[in-house]
Amino acid sequence: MSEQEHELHLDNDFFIQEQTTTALINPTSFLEHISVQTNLFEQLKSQFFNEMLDDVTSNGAASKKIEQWLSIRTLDELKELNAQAKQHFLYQGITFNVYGDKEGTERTIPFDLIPRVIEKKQWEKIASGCAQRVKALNYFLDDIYHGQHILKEQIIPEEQIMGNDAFQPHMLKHSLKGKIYSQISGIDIIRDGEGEFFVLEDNLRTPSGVSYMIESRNISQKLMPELCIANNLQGIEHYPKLLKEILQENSSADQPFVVVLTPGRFNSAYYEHAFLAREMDVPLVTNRDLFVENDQVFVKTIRGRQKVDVIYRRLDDDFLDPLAFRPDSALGVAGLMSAYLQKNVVIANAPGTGVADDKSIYPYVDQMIQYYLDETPILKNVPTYQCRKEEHLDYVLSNLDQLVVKEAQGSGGYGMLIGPKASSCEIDEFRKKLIAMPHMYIAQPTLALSVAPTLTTGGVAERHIDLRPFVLSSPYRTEIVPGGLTRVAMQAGSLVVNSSQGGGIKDTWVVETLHS
Amino acid sequence: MVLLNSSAHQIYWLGRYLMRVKFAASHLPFTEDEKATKFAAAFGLVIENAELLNHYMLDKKQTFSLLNQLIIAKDNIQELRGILSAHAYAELNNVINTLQPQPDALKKAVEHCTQILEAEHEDIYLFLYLGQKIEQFDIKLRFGQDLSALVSELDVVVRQLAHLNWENIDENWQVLKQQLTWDAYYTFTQQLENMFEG
Repeated sequence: MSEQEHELHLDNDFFIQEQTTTALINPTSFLEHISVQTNLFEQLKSQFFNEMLDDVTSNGAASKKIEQWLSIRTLDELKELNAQAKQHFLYQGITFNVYGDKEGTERTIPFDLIPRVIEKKQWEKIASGCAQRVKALNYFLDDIYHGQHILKEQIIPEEQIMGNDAFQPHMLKHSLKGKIYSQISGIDIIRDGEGEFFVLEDNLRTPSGVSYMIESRNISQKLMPELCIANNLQGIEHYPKLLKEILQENSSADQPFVVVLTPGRFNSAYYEHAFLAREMDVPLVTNRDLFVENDQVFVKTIRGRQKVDVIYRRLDDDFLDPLAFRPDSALGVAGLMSAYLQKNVVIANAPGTGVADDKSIYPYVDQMIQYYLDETPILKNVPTYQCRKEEHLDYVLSNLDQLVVKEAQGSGGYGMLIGPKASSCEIDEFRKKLIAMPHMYIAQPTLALSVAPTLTTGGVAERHIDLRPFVLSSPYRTEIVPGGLTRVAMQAGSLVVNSSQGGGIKDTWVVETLHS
Repeated sequence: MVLLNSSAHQIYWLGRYLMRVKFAASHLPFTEDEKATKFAAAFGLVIENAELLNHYMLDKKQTFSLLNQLIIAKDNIQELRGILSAHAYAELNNVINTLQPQPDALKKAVEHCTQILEAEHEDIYLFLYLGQKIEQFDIKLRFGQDLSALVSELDVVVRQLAHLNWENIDENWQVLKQQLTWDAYYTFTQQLENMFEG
């Protein structure tokens, strides 16, 4: 099994022309060439929206400080700092195993020294947009497992929900405190060529990457403390404390006892599971630590059994309980769903949340926001054609060479067509698939994703990025630490930020602009 | 900190592996075939050549080599990642990852690992110490050495465990103290294993 959201993958949805502009950092010494080097980022001007150059809502003060900081260092010095970052990750054991890697080699995720900057004003828009979205998605989940009003009013076709693999009949009529199904949500955001923010994907099952967000900040503060202080960064280090509070607030127990449930150390996200358990000061458990008795969940400790009130699970629904889901699951806890349905334990995120982050449901999120909240969406969706709709299918079939076609139930970039890069044979093959099973596909236009300056072997070059903010929800509040995980495609022209395919990370700095 | 039975089990075995490596490394290198043969035989190995045993002990490809014992210890450390401090985990990981296949390096590595673990939470130390002492018991029993001092040390540990409601082990511990046989030893350690199961 895999932890669905661990693969840090930006679907390779958007075709762009590869470009290789590289800004030259002084290979020897900056001091003699300062006037030349201070326009470092300007050298990266291209057809893509550059986060550090092209944001007209920003006065660019933070970008300028970063540019100057880079300019007074030689390329070798910067490479040395990046090497120190790698060494830090290796030393701390912040590594992951790639599934299928026979060597079992531990890899570190590439870290790029140059941070991504988001002005506080922009961040507030992102944060409020994410909060709005998650609120609507939670209402939607409560609705489809109860009154199903959105289906009855035919805003979303019933068959798309009831026939969805992630729809969980166990959850029907089961009410949750504050109607919170997704306590931890990761919203994948991109910017297009105009700098407009779009939501690419909602992750409501087991979104991962938050440990990388925190470690990125730790390493930034270690390698460039003066720059961090100068930019008065909004803090993110309180995320584990917030997460624990949010998890506890979803329980009705007094002083709820929380555990993190991991599939084990062979899971590629095990580092993150252990990190969060340690930082929250709660036990990291596997199924063999837990047992159910009289519909209560207990954990085995050296001082005897301890009742568990909240399980932050990091395994998929199918594996949670062999009595309720896959009988061959060796990772689950027998009787867990029964205890859950008796409301004796909170499972976060709730079973059955996956139906709300399915690609075929994604096009309806704007309507959910209008329907449940009576609000206009703050963040836009990427326009999406649902091939199940005849008129959409006609358009997609006529424009296959310009569109990206994806399986509605697919993930990880598999089973998709990137029209502008595809051969005529591949397009013909997809045409047949679409005609045979249109309901299984969606299509999206190609967008030029934004870029950010990134340190490469040849100097500073632009690389495509995305952003995953983490939204924490309880019946009483919604919290989003300022920033999130910025994922960067380390190869020129590439859109793949998947960690197993060489994708990397950047620290995300939310800064308050001080207008002079 | 809440220590799980499974974590305590990992710590216990980590203590055993570290003690086992420390003991064996302290005998390396063997220079006399007779001593090597006796040493190997105590662990069920038929190796009658000192040089061969020296090579065997440091050969990663051999399942029961000292290096492999430490690799198993590394698995224990991985399992404990959620409970060890970040610094302790990083140091332990680093010690084992940079290990050189030489007796002195092994001894130093084991000492370093033990120091790191001893500085962690007192519950971690308790089960580490239990594992170390049980392994020493095993070794001394194997080589027919005097166990009286060790029995006194283990007596203290058993009393500490009783405060954790592990008093079930006391009966078999009393039997072991009186008999000092393999049967009594296995009965006692099996009961420890059952306690870890919960």
